[in-house]
Amino acid sequence: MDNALLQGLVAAFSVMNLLFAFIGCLLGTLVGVLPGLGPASAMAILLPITMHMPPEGAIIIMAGIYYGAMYGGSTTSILMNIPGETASAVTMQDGFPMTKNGKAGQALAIAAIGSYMAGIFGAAAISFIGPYVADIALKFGPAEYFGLVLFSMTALVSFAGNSLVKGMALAVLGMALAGIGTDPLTGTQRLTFGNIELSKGLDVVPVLVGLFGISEVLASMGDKVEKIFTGKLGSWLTMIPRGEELKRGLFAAVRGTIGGFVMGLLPGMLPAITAYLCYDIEKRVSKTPEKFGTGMIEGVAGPEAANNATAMAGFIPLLALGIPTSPALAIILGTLMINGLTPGPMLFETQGVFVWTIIGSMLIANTMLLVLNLPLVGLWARLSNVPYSILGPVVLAVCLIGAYAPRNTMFDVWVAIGFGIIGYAMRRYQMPLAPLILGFLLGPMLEQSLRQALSLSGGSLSFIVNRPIALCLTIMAVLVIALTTYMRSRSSQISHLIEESTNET
Amino acid sequence: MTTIIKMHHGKRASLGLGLAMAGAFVLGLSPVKADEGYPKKPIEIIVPFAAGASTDLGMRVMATALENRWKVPVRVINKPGGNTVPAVNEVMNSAPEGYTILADGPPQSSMLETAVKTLPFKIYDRTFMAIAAYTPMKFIVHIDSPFKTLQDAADAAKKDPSSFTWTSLGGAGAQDMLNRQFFKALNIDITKTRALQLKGGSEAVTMTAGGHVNLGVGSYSAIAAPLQAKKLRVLAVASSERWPNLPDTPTAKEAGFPSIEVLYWIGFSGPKGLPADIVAKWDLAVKEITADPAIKDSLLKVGLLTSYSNAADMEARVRKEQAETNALWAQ
Repeated sequence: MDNALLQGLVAAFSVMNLLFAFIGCLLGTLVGVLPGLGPASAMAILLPITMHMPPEGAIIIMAGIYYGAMYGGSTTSILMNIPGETASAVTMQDGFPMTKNGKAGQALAIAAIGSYMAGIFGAAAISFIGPYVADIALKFGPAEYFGLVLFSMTALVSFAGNSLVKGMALAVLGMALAGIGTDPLTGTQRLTFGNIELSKGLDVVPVLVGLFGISEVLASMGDKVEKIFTGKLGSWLTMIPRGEELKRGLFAAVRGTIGGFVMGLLPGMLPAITAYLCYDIEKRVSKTPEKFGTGMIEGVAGPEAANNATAMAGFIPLLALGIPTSPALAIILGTLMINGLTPGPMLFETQGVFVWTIIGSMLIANTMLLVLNLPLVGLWARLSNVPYSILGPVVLAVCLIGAYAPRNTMFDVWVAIGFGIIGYAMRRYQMPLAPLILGFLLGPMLEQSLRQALSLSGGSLSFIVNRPIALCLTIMAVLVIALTTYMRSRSSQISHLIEESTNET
Repeated sequence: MTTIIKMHHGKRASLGLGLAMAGAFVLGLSPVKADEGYPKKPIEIIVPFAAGASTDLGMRVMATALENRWKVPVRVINKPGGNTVPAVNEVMNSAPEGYTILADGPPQSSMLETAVKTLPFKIYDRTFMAIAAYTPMKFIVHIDSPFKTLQDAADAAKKDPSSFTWTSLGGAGAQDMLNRQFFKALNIDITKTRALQLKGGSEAVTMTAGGHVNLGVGSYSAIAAPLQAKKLRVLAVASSERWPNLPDTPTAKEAGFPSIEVLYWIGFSGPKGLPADIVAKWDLAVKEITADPAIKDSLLKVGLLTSYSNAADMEARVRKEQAETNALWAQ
């Protein structure tokens, strides 16, 4: 076993494999930066080419694209308030305000550092505890998922902004939108109005690109924004966060890594969802939660570490059990199978060198990504100085291409444009966009897990009580909501008291 | 000033549009004639499923082989969603020149009418070309299940159908066909059992491996990994021969259920009116490619066995399957 480990690590350093890792990282970063284009699209396009490559090379490139995209996705989120990846949608909340304050470099740097931490931790976890924790992916049945999603919904409270009612309403709208199309469980048509195109349902990427990307460009042009940041920017070295800020950022990254990793073991927990949840956690543990949204470094470090950790965690059920937790990982599984490699404990035993080469390459690739991303921070940050009259149209074009890419259909492009207009209207009316996306992502999971759990229990809700994990999570969800409501009412009571006392004097 | 520019643009736009329409009209007028040099352009194979699914992987192997043979790019384009209807519709409406081809299979043909009641096209309004490969469905249980044979599962189902849980993919698919044949063979009313509705084949396998259902169904590529990881057991294979990688697993017939057989096949179809010589070229290509031992090997890696059928046999198969599907879903 030790022999295979050493052989694998040495193989990871071979010139060919280093080259493959570099190409994967570069493509991944590029794909992450471009709004809409996601790792799954790039991997699907690359799949035929990888069939002519040696298996380690193919997997190294695919894996590099996957976590590289998690690194790159934060760039446009932070700089232009447009998510490069669904997983980076939440980074915009504090990342963009940091850019407007002239701290784009710090935001980009902490995103890269947090992602690196998660990447190395993830690779180490795969090596040492991988096979043991893989079983967790199997233990989660419909009842447990229901509990988990219920708990995740509590994060909505964080993102609702000033009006909880507005936030909830938008979340429900998001869920309804996600319901459009063919019901995945029974095949019936919902909200399709007999239209074939609508029967495909709405993919999250065009909705995201339209709601956040196109609407942002429209809004900026409407506000006659000249440049995103009009101040002066120093060299990349001055952009590395220091002191107090660095400390807070690093701690947030650690929390994000652990949270993102644990949740990433479960099928269906996409990096996007764990990023939202970890942002919520950051807000709850912070001493200054009201400052979130104005440029708190934790709001960038936490989610970015989380989405990378989730990406890495996904490899555990994949390599140990052959269970893909997301569409991009399903493509990697396909690549393995085309090359005649079946994941599982047998893979570790009979193809030990192969597995260790991949893991070794993960360490190398993450380091490459850090090196690629940190010095380039200065260059990327300067984008915030580019006149919007040039930046805007380019971004718009990229968004539209990104909307087409996932499903190769013009319908998605129209969806993106439509949601661009809706998003613009929402911004004008001060409506928070995040709950809509969260509802869109969580709605299907909530519905399906509830229906499946009821199916299995024969129609009774007793499954919530009967299954320990589900019960635990439901109780946690209830507690969180109760506490938050209590806190809110307390803080409004306190501010009332303060008002009264100031009025008295 | 701006109004003048707008009008100018408008005029140029309509001129351009007019020219384009004229061009298209002229091109469209030329009859679809026999193409000696086929294929001359890249060919697109539209797969109505996401990348990584077994149809997709099988098609990628075939696409590479076709590319080597015809020396033109053969691209696999994934257009998932809507019970395969949008993708099939797109191919049906494309030009019958042989450059837009459908990756065909039971969900797109024999089972489609059962799954989707109102279709924008007729199933048989396509040009069947050839079947290339297939994979039989398999009954699976999780490793600690008390069922050691298919008969054990049958006994449990007969004893208490209302608490018997199994994986269903909703709609009409090969996996559900297998389950319906099973319950029919036991004379159990399927509505009295507990189906767990799932989104896709791999989810069904994960649920079974986690022990959340009594009985599951999957194709080889979906179950290969958990099987090797010793999380699953295969009770029986729904085909007339044993599966090469599972020499000790009985067929459904051997397990005492001769009426159970579900073969999930992949093939090629084109839009209506495809010229006979293009069909003949595909027919010959598929026949020869599926006889190649290297291709057989590659397909086996993704869980498929080669099996060539020509266009006529393909259509006959679809008709037979459709009749069977209608019968099974009638209850």
